[in-house]
Amino acid sequence: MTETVLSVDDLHVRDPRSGTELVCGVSFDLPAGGALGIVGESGSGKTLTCRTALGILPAPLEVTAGRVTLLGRDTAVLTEREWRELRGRGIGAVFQDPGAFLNPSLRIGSQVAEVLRVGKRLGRRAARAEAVALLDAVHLRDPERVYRQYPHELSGGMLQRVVIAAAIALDPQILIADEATTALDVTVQAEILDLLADLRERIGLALVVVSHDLAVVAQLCEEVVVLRDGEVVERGATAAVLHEPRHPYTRLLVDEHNRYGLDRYLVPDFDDAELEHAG
Amino acid sequence: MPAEPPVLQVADLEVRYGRTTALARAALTVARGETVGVIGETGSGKSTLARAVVGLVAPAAGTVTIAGEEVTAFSRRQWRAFRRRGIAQYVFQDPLRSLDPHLPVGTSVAEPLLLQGRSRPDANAAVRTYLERVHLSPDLADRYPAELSGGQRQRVAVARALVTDPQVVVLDEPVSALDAANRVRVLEVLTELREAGTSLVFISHDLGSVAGVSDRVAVLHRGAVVETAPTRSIVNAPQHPYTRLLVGSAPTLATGAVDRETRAELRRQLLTVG
Repeated sequence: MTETVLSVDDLHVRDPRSGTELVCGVSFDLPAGGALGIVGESGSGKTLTCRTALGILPAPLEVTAGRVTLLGRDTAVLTEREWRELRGRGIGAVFQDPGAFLNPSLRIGSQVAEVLRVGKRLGRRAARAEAVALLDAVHLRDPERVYRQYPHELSGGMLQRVVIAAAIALDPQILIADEATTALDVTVQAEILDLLADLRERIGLALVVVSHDLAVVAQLCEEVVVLRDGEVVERGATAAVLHEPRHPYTRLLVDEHNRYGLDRYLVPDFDDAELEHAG
Repeated sequence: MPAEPPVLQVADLEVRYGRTTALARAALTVARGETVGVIGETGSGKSTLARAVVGLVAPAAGTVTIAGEEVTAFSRRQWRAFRRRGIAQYVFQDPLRSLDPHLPVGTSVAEPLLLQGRSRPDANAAVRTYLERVHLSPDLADRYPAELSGGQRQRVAVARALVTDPQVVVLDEPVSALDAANRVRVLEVLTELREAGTSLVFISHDLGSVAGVSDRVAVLHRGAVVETAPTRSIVNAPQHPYTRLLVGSAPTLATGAVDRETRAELRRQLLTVG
């Protein structure tokens, strides 16, 4: 049996100010090297579940029940120091806005090298060499040049690659991608999705892909959980859930996707004779 | 009998910012009652196109004709008069740009009518009608923009654009700042408008949103319209290498994006076609 790298078991998260339960009994298991999608609308608890798994639940929200096991360790009993060890080394994350994670006044290279200097205790030169290798690994053309550039000199897609490079710098086993391609152009999104699939294949990185876009999850993940108002309404193999949804809410999401997505227009055997190009 | 003139015609439009050409030979025709999508990525010139149609940037060459009037030949004064008539209206990505934060949203919606000299009771009645048209409760008229959700604000902006009964509405990334549920609400409103015969130009980087609402799609790449075709043709049989790259990059529930070798080959072709 494959080892489980991340296990969320009956997680409950509450906002003590209002007394509302924001995550109510979410469970899932992520096997080593696996890819799990989490879909649902805003407020469904996707991001809070991920933040709990990263140990960065914003105050004053609190875990009131359940258990998150990360690489075999119960995260409830981790000290802040142990969390810092696990974050980066065990689990990394990329979010929608890569710019927010980079210091605009520091060169790209020094920010990636810093992660390595602190996390792997590398010396200046070794950190530089490894940072360039990482920028290369995320398929940035001319990594030496990118190393010397500032964040404002890079496009959104390039910045997201840099953030992914920093997130995998300490060889984590799990990467959480929370709406990581939402703000990108579609041709750039295709490159980043390839990169994630590539990292999974090459270094066995397990992925948690949080997205409002069902098609992104369909491309990357073999398992999916559907969240609504903090509860799992449906789970299973991605193909089965998205093509034959059982829960009315999943059906609604799929239906909305089909109405305002390309699928609506895709004809399996489109006849070129139908073409009426208007030039 | 001659065919009815288009509500919007953009011909050979060129816009330069200093030495950069943002828009080159852009052409677009919107017939009455038609919804035309304009799809383009960062740097394609799509916002420049929207701004040129609105008269916010002056083109270096080419013409924009709205409902038979060549607006690119307008003086500032003529532009002001033209705007007051509300023949063409605009909705931007951020509704806060068209809604004054200090005014109840009902006042913002009524404003274009009051500027035309319509009476306040008349304008107020129209506000209720158009808020209902975008599926908002008329009671929201007394609220301030900050009290509404992003999706509600965008629907208010659409109501404001509709209140003068325009011949064409240009929407620049109207759903890009919204979450999935609000995006669908706004797209539903646009679909209803299209079915009711309002002419729309829907500019976006999101192929799915554009395809879901538009009769035809124009593809903008590096400042030029490289392909225009009915939505079904664009999605199923894109012709230009860039359109093929764009459509091929978008995953669907049925298939993932085309593989990277195919995309690299399309990029190579793009270098030769331009």
